[in-house]
Amino acid sequence: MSSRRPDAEAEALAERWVGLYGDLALRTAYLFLRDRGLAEDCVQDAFVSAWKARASLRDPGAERAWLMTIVANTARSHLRRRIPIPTDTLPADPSTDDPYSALVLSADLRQALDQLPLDQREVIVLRIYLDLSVEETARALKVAEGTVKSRLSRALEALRLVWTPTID
Amino acid sequence: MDPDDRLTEEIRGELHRSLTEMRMRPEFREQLKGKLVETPEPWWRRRWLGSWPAAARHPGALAGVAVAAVALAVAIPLLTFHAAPTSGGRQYLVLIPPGPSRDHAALAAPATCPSGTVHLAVVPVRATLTSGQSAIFKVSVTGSSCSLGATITGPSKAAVSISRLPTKTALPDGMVGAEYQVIWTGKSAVPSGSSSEGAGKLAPGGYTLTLNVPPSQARASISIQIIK
Repeated sequence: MSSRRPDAEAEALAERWVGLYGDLALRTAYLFLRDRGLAEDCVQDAFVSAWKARASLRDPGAERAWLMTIVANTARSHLRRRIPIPTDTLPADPSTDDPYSALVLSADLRQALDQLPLDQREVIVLRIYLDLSVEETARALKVAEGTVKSRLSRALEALRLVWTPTID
Repeated sequence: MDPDDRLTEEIRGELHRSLTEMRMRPEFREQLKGKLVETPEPWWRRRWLGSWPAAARHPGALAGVAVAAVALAVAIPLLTFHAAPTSGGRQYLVLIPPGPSRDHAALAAPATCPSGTVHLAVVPVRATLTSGQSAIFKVSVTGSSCSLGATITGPSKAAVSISRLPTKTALPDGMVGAEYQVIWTGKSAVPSGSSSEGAGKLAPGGYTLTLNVPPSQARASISIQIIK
């Protein structure tokens, strides 16, 4: 068994990734998976994949988009092989059990998003929530930029019909 | 402002406002950092590319390797495909340590340790395996004077193999822990009576792994759901 101590550079990078992007990654995964446990699994898988491939990141300025793309793609992959979770074992209101798992996505927006096909929901998460550019979103989804625009347009059209923003 | 732009801003604002309270649990944060630090670079990069000149690491220089890898990826399954029996769909094994909440890994259990109640923590709270995959569970026990001579047993017919891994990480004072690797073959280890071909697919249903911590009598169960 190797007893080599991880170098300080790796520790600093792990600290930075988790500190800077951990919460955002968790929320992104949650938007896809709607289950905190699955979202944590997804974030762990995504970060480990990214960690192994970190040498391929050539533009440090693109780190956030690169990492979030890996998170989103991992979440999409988890979603495709999603296992139905027995609902009788879920707590009635997770937010009362754990302050870190507050499910505060408003019910009406959640329902509105749930009505969208997955490809449109993906664009909402990447383009609107993560604020990735059209080019970055297209690269993440492996589709043409025109497809991103048309999916976003259709998603907004559908959301406009079923969702009314909360007025503060 | 364009109506689409306005709606986009409203959705963005609502999503950020709604999710701002969702954040990583401190223990998950630490676990993730530890996992990253312990994850080595892929062996091929470490062993081969590590000593190459920088120019040779350019993606173009790797094209030949990539082509060879694709060829192998195609050829090996073809060579090893000897009319294997059809699987009839994938099965999944979901390991779910129970707790007061699905997001809390801790499970209180009766104990005889001098310090009082023993808490078992099983991390991660959930793992999903397909046939041949494995999961590593970190089990920790809090309570001074408690030792973790834990054993985990599972149903042999579920063909679950469990082994304790060498502990690599130090735990805080008063806490002992161990890591267990759970491997699921996806097959039943006990041939069904009607089958003459040996192990078959495991019937969907519930199974239980049990963790015992002598001499405290603390016990945790990890439920297994086989889902088709």
